[in-house]
Amino acid sequence: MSGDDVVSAIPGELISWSGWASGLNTDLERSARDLNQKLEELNFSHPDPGYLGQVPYLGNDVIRYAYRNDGTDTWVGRVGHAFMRIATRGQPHGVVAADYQDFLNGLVTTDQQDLAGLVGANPVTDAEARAAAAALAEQLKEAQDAGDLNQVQDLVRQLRDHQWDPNFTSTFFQSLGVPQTLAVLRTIAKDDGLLRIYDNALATATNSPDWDPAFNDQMWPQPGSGWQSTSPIEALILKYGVFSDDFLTRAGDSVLFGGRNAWTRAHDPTVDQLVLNALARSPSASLSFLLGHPVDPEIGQPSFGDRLVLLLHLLGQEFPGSPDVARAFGGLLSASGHSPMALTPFVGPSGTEPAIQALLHQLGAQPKGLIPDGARSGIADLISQHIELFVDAPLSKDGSATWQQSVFDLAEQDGNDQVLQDSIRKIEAAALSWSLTHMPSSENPTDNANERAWMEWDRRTGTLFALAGMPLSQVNYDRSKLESDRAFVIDQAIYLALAPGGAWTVPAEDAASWMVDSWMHNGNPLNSSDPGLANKAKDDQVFLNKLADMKAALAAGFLQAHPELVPPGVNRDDFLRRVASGEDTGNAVLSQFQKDLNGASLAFAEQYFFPNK
Amino acid sequence: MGIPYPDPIRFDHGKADAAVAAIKTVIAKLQSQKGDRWTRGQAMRVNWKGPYALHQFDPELTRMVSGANDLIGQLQSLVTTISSASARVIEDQAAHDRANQQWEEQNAPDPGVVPGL
Repeated sequence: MSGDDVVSAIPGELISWSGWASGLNTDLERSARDLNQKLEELNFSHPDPGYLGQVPYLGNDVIRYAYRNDGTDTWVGRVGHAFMRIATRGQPHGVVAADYQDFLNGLVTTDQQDLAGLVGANPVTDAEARAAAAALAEQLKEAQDAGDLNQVQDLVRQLRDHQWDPNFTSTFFQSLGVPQTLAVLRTIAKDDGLLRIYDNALATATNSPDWDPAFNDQMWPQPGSGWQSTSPIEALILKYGVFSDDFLTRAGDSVLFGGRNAWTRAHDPTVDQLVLNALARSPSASLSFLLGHPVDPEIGQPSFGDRLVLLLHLLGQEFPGSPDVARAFGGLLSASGHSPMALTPFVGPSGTEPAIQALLHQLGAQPKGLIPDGARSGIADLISQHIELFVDAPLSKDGSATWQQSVFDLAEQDGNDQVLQDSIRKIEAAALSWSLTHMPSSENPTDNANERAWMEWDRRTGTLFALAGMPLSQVNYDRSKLESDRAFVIDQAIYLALAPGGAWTVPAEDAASWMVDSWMHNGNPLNSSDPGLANKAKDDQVFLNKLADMKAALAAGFLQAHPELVPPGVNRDDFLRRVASGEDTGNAVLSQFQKDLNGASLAFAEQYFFPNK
Repeated sequence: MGIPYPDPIRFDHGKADAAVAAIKTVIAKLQSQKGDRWTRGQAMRVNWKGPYALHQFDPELTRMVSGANDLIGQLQSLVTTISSASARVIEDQAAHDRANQQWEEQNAPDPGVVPGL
């Protein structure tokens, strides 16, 4: 280390400065706020202007000064802690603990580069931003108190350049305080542009490392004796922005699980929708919220049931008359699937399973009538995001539907058992995508090492397509919809194969239709030793169509990915039909693939016809 | 023509006094803090060496002291403004009161013949 680079300090002196000066700043800030209050009272008493005009709010300058100092003082503390880390680096924990005071009060010498690596940000920039934020908050308070609406709007507009800055926004809103934050909100509520800036800024602030959670608590009174309802205007604070998980959870509990002595059933759909949408903009908050437990004001403790199930009951009467709330609830379910914690183990009512599976499991256990129709698209989206969780879905053991079968049913049929075609397509596309991307890497039939992987793929592919097709019924699903689904699935297969080889779209649709006609007139599609299964297969038109779609789509995807397997000069349409329907092509690789398609078909049939078809 | 100054001068002395007291509290804190910061900062600098101390802390310490001085100057000026206004109001109000009293004396109704005299 060269002489110019040598730096030294006694860590305790710098750390002690920081704590001491922080107290000075807080004390000065408090006095400055009191001064502003007194100056405001003097101004509002309207002294005769011949003697005294409006006095300036000099407390603002003092607050700015205190915040500016605080930034520097905090930074001095960081430098002190950096010196301390350098002093104790490499020392056993026991030694540091025993000689802590010696380390703290001893002179530490190091080099500037080492120190700078531990200290980080520029103190002046940070301090200036905080000072400016505190001053802006004070100006806003004064304008709000004076009823100067134009000035309030102008000042909020100044937040535009700072709305993504955690330091600025956290200082701004913590200086403003909850009552004034809501007062300003009421002033700007009708200006959507300003509202967007204001909400985004608060959202940024709530995610700041130095955000005080007491603000969240004060803004969203929790269920119990201190609870208060949220007005539609106040709920506009949630219209834009991605807030912290804690802020959102408290907002959700205050709005959706409010009540002083018991959960209230008096809900405002506008407010409910705003809070559900705000939660849905944060996937991590969505999942933890739904699986968590709100405080039950009747017992003053967290409830036994999780929020997912409780919400279905609490909002059950609201959903039919407020489809927007139902859709927002579906959006919340869908968002939870994107949580980074979705696949982490979670201990729930059904034991330990991935968190998102616990959610799906809970959903699948609910009576169909409890699920609002508006939420079904969200459930379909959730299933499609995590379709891999269903590949090993078991068969029913007692004739009743498994939770996996039930949750597909919830997604694909409405309360009147009418099929939701968009949901079906979403889920079938996900099943197809899983199947095409999980085909074993080698299709060589002479390679026995791949046999187990192919058999597993067969079973899983069949299971997924069966779950997707099960909720359909030939009673309420007509031929035109089946053919429309077919075109969609085949398109997806060609798109997902993402390989050269020409367009197989029309041939694949034709092949599927040909197979359905052939099976309906000439026999069953299964090479199964189970005669009951084979006979049922003949009878079920939806089954035949969906099975044909699966076989044609996978065959098209396979040939698209392996164009070398198509003999030159052969009629492509006819060749695809032969591969999909299991006719011999004289090619050993394709024979193996056809065996696998048949295996998938059997798994499809076993899942599909069980329990009630 | 009536009383010359029917309305008192609009000036809330209680609020003015409270504002002045609050200003003086802040001035006292700034005075105290700038001195304490300077003294303690200089002591800390005996052992704290290097670019952070020299190029960051020293200018900041100077700014803290000069910033406090600037604020104290502004606040004292405001004390003067409010106190002067208050004093002028008291003085003028007293003059108004005297003028009103004089007018009342001059314009008091003639008592006429007082019985018994």
